[in-house]
Amino acid sequence: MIAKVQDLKISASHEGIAEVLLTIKHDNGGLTQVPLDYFAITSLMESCQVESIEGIVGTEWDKVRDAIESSHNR
Amino acid sequence: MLDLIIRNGKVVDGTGLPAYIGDIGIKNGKIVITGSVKDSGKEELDASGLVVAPGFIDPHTHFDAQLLWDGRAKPAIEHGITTIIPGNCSLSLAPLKSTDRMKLVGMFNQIEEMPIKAFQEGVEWDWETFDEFIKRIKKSLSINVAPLVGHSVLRLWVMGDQSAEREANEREIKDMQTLLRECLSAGAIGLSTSFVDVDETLAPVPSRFADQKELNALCDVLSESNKMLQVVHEFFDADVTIARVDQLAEISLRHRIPTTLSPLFVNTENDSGVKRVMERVKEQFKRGARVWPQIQTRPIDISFCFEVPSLLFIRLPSWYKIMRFGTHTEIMEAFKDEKKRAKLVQEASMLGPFWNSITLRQVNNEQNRKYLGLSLDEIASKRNTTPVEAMIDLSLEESLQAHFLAENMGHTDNDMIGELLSDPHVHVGASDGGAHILSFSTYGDTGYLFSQFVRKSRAISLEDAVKKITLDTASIWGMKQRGCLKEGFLADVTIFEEDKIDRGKEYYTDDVPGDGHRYVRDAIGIDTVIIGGSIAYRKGSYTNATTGNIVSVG
Repeated sequence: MIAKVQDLKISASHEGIAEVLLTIKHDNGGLTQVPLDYFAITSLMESCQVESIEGIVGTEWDKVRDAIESSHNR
Repeated sequence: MLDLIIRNGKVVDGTGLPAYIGDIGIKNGKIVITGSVKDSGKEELDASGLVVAPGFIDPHTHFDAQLLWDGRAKPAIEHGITTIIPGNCSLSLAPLKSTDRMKLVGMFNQIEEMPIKAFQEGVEWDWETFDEFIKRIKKSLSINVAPLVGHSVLRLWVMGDQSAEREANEREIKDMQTLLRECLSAGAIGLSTSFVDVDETLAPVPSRFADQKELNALCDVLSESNKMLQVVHEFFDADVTIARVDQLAEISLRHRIPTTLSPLFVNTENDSGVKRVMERVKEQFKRGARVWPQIQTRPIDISFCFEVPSLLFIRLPSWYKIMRFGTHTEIMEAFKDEKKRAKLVQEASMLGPFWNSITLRQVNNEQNRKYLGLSLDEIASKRNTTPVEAMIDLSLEESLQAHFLAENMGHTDNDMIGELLSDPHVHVGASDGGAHILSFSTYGDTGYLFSQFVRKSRAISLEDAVKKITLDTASIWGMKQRGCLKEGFLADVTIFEEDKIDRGKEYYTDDVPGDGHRYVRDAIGIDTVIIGGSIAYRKGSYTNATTGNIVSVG
């Protein structure tokens, strides 16, 4: 088992731009939240091959991690 | 005879004790008598019906650059602020070798959105050391300045380009210690560092390459004079924040210094995270550590225009698609095309009344200026259309350069924020004054504290709110004789209307050097601001007083 995206919400970043806040559910039931910027979320949607943001619910953590990394390294 | 007497005010002295009606007498820049003043003054102010409080202290600002061309740090003073702490987040403008100037300008531009042109046209670069920088800004200060020195800047001075590549060696750490000691002697009130910021190339700033050994060595120097370590932590992640609280607690206990981390944000969806962070903060205070989380009072707004993609539209497939993949021309065409536009409008209706409260904040065309500051709902009724159609029409008329604002999109849980503001373990700060100038206004948090949390939600009393941003702040940072209206304290005083003090509406202005712009807010309900015994601001106008000073600590 691996942590998965349970839910998402549009939120505001410290810089006053929109970001997507993912709720990640871990194996043990623990929840954590991870914010993704524009580049990360578009990268994640592309890697999940979804056209709607809701399509990433259920995605495994490693894809989220790769999207964050790709945003960081852009 | 006294220099200045404030008579008949409702004195909220900064201690949190109940207010009383009385007078304040000032001579030679200090408060010499409180209560009943029989003496006469060269100048007397009648404060009947007004609150007389210590000047507000803003502990998290980035006015570093602005102080080079504006010793008032406008509009801080008109919001009642008499002392600012710049140099946060590992960035200060000194010490800085002449060869590294543009590198630092790039970082300020990336992190704080200070336009590069403002540095090019508004700054005469005539300093390198911290001492030279202090002497430079001290020439015409109206506001008090308590500057931090930035960790990234120390590294840049000692390690050059390698500062953003690796850990420091023994010799470099010793050099940084010597340099930090010099900065503290010259007037720095502490060291700022960052665990999250990136530079203009999106690479980590130099401070992020420091290991714990380096941090401990620098904190050894801070401990010689009991000075503060300020940290920007991974505020977007509660678990990492808790780890940072633990790390700072160990630093605080080992070196016997205060530490502060900023910012702490509260949204309805992350309440539990903030609660866990605060539980750990309280545990660490019980151990004797000093780890002060900073919280800003204002909510976060989201700004957008259709020239730049925004995640605000990600739940609307057609909008997302056109903004994600469309060129400028294609977006314009989609807005013009009857069919495509109808689909966009229909899809937007999914968000219901969300659009109504969005405001127009920036346009280029003269004929649209009359709509600035109005909501789409208001604009729509003037144009006899719907809010979404009005947004599309304005975007077309402005060639996608119409800027809009969705207010209260983050840091919005006012019940929780109110609880935190009244918690003695929480430090009110993180305003970021002087930063993000092209995205939003970072001014008016003090007014918002009173309007939202004292008057509206009653989460905190008037006396406690004043204490939070005066004596508490001075005490946390070790500022002597500031933050309280008592005999012997420095005469920094803010006089305001209890039932009116607030932040005004945000607007776009052009007072940045190099034809630069920024978002600001005027203050509401601030009557008079006295700095160092002189009136710096009164009834809507600034005076020529330059009695601001560099604040000493320890």
